[in-house]
Amino acid sequence: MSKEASSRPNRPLPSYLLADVGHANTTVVLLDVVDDAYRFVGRASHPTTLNPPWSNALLGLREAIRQLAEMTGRPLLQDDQLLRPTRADGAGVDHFGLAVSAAGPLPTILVGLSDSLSLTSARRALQAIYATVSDTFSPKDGRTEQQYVAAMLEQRPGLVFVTGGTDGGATRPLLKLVETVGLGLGLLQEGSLFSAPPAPEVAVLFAGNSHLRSQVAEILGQDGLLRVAENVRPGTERLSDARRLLHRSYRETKIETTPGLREALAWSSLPPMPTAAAFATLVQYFAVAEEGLVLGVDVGSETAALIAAWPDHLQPWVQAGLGLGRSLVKALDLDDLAATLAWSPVEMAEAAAQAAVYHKSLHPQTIPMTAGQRQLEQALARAVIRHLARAAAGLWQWPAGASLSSVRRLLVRGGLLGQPLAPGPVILTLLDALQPAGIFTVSQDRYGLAPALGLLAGHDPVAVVQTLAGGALVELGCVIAPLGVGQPGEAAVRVEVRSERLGTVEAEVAYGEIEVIPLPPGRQAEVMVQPARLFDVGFGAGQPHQWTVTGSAAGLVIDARGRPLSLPTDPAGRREWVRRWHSSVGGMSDE
Amino acid sequence: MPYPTSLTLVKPLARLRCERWLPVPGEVVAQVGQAVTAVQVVARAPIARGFLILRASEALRVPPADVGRYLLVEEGVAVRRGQPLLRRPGLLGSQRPLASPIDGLFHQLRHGRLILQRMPDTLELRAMVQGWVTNVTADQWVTIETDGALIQAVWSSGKEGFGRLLTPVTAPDGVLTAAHLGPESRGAILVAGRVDEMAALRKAEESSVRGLIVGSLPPELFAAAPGLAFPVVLTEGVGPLPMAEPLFRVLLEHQGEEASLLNPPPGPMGGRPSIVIPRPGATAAVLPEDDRPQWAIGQVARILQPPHAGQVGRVVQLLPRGRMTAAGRWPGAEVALADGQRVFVPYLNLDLLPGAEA
Repeated sequence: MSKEASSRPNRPLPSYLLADVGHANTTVVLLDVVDDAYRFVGRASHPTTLNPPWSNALLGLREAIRQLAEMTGRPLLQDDQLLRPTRADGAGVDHFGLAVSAAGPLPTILVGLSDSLSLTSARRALQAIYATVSDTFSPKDGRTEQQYVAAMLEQRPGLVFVTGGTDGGATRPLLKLVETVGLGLGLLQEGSLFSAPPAPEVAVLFAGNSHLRSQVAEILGQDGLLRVAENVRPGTERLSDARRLLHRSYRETKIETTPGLREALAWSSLPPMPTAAAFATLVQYFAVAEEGLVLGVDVGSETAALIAAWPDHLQPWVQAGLGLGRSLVKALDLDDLAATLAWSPVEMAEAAAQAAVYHKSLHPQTIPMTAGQRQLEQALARAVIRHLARAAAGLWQWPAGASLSSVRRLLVRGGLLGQPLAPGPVILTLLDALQPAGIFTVSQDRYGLAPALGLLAGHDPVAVVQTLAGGALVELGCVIAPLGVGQPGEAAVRVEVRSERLGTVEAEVAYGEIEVIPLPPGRQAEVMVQPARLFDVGFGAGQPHQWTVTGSAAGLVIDARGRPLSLPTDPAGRREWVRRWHSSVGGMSDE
Repeated sequence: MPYPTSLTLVKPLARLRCERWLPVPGEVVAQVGQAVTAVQVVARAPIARGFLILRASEALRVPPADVGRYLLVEEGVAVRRGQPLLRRPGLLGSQRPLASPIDGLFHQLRHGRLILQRMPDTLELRAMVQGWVTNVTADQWVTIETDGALIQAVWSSGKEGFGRLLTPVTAPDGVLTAAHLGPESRGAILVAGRVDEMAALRKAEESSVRGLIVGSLPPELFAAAPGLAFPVVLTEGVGPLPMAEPLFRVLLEHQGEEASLLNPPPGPMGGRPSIVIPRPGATAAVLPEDDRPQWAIGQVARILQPPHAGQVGRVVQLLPRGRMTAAGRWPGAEVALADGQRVFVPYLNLDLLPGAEA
């Protein structure tokens, strides 16, 4: 018997140490069995050490693990190496897994025939990883071979993703593009034609007309790391195989080449995942459990994601290079700055806001220390989420501009929105940005567990279920948001809350107002909601609904502002309304 | 102890290593041990000016694999405009030639295409800093060492430069205006707390300054800085922030001396833009450095965000469990400021200044 096996205690269920290496912070969480069920035992976080002078993600990861070991009293490292598997004395851990967003985006050139078919499918498949599409080659764009090659040499892609054609369909236009790509790849890897060093090997994914595979391999096989996936559009859309290979390319070209992560992967017994993909897996878990649409929102330091999950499919929008850190300046371009600031209850001059944003982009790891700064970041987070919703609607053909009326749950994480702030402002930011309607809960991944649980979902779903049941997420509130438009001051919805401990609370909420009925975490109450004739909470206009709700950090939030949401045009009136809404949810307490 | 997320080196005298590199492989002309001045060329490289693809197989109507049979020139040789590159004998003795449309180099034959490179320009890489060469790679990198002062900046407009330091203001919050600029500014690197007006930057351009080091710029000037003729370096950030006092002090001490504004090398290990002030004759002790410093009591740190942005103080207490802030609970340190205040600052908002005096 090996020494490792002999030291393993007689325990049927393994423990897990799961890490999420983000641009700003590295978080580690420990899951283990406590009283016959998996529980979240502890977490620690340390700033990610990928930037100079550290330039090595392993330092911050080890420090986070060291802190976790100190907190839990369970030795996890020995000579800077992870103790694995768990020893008889309880030290160490059985499995280690890694989710990563700090590896940065994979610069990608898309190649395809039809913008509305193959290229749209390629863009959708690409949402599985962090990628930035630097260019799109299509026969219809009218460029010459020379221009395509020049574009490749200038943009230096890490991935060329080729799609196009139905299986057995026309071949010549796509092959011509593939030949051009082959030419560009060869020159790119020599590096001599442009003032740049030779590019590292470029990954190439072919997911087009399957009848062309051998010809594509003949043209590209020697000039890049060619992988062949099932056609994304053989007729109807099929993305899973392309997504699988995109994950692999991302892992090889980005995660494994990030300083320090190769060493961390040597500890790993679970396949690494981009954080957004791990998060998406957990969002889908909830969609299955709740038999409806669940939205996941992640606004990190340098990446942002909006995940829409139904029980049977997933529609992610993952955007690299947009977040509340170095890339915060890009949030200034998402909307007119005055329009962005209009959602803040605190008056802020545009020049001061711009200065704060530029300054933050130079010091991306910093956090707001004043209420004004925090309100500015919340307003920018709102603009980022709004942008994600618009972009996702465009890619997945959601009804653009309309409300999301069948949401069961909103799960939020990352940056400011994942912090232990008062729950009201976080809920309000999501309501303002996404304008969901109906009755739904809002949960916060305050402890940074969502990527960890997503990593684990495919490996040990029971551990995920039990950890969630143990309170891994913070329930921020239950929202009632009727769909409809009315007259200010007129009643939009009537709510009655009955509970043994709290008695009966009744509220009539006028159109344009937000009201919160506190319901402490853990307490249960019967809620009866009666929308006005022209308002709908998901059961038809004017139709009532009764259900049992469990208390949460904020309680019951009744958003009677209607959908779509609009702000008064006059600045004074607008500011008054915004302050009122923030005040209603407890977001002005520290101003 | 946690690692600081931000660390700025401010060294009044140290042995400094400056990396110079060509963007593409070329020829390094400096030799190890050689003394160099800032203006001296240490390496050269050909910089491509573009290329041209000729679809030879289509022009000759032959399969791509056959094109090589008809080539008249070899890869890598210079070609003149109009010079035949390949010729395919046709029927009845006719010939189908393909001539070069440019003066340049025949780069290669690939996939039935001829790739021509326009005649390249030559890039000359200057030392940019006075010192001596300690290492070279055959075709791309030169390491220059010098004894002198170093200040790491937070941002550079992208250009590099060298010149004598001129500090027309007297305090770290001094605002540089157009009125400060005169004939003495020519060829100088100006130092000030901040600049508030575009007029001052325009006047600096007219005065042929060689660079500008300021604590901060307002957003509109920050956006305009990369378009200026001279390099701009920020030590603090954007907004009305003064230059941190320890940095200003070092720059003021070297008034009139030559300084270099250098960009970091490319790649993930790159680092930050830096201000190097060589001090020929001064010998720096080469002390072993702690390359992984961690937070400790007594260290000097700069605060990066309001309400105390730009202030420098000494760490007096470490609070690993942190305190509640506007953004939630964060671990951090209590810092004693120059005015006697003791303030809690999350580690994330602190910049360690190892070796600096508060």
